Amino acid sequence: MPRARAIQPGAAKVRMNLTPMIDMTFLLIVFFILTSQISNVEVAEEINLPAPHDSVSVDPEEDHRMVINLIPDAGDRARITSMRLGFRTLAFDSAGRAELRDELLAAVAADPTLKVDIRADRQAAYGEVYPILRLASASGARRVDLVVAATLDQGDLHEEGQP
Amino acid sequence: MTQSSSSRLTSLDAVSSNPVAEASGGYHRPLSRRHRVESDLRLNLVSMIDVVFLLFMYFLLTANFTLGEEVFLIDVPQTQQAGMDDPFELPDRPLIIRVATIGPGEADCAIQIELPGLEPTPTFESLYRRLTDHQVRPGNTTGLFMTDNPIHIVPTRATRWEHTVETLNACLRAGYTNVRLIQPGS
Repeated sequence: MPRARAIQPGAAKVRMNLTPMIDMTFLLIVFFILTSQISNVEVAEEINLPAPHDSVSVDPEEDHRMVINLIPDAGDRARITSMRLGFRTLAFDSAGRAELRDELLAAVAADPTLKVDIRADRQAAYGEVYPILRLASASGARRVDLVVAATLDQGDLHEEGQP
Repeated sequence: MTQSSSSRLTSLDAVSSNPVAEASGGYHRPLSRRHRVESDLRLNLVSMIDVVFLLFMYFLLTANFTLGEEVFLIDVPQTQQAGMDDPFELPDRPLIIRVATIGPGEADCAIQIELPGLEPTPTFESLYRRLTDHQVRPGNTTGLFMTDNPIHIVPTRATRWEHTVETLNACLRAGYTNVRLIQPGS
């Protein structure tokens, strides 16, 4: 008697299907684990990268590299307050630079083909960035790359438009 | 007898016109009047959401995570051993470009190529043009510098990083291959 069951008096039975919620939760967990790791290592959102006009910069290679983020001061962006190296934050003083030098030397000793990426804010003063450039080049790294924001230039449009 | 057979026919007609009953492989269940009005046809969204999220994850993982960043490749000169230099090679005199930030704006900078008789260049585009004009290449009578001639960029301590990078970009864009950033000048 299905009809009799449908109009049964009493409290309504509300059931929640947990399966899709669990699916979604696991997918979100995996997503956040993967993206948070990448963003911590490579991206420091406080940095507003320079975007040169008609840039001849190239896509970064997918090989072993160390990314040094130079975090600017929130009030005076010409000044650098700290350095972020992977998951670690180093102070931008003589002790922090000594620590960075040791890290770089250890990393180059472990992998002589290591490349160093330097991410600095567009407003940062050259006098602040230069000591880190010197440290990176003196560490014996194969190459020191300067990271800039990618821009879509007129040349790119022409290249894309060509068959 | 006649009345009952006609009512049975009506009931069968209603069942055959019901898409749910047809979809269930010919199993005919007598439907009430209420079921004739409201169809039981429902779309199961759960599996669709699962598949959509799986596709979403796939595209996220296979996407490029560089987030719109590019790099200027700068080769670090390796330390040369003694006796490796060519004794007959003439030393290349570096072309020095001085850059200074003179205001808060993006274009507020002063660029000076250290060459006798050259006025300061007001923009990075004009710097690029001058560097191209003075490049040695077939047919260029005003060429002074080979593409491997060293170029030293000398910003001041207060020069903004964006102006330093723009200068570097202008030199590389002009085709010069030996460009270096030098200790900040006064």
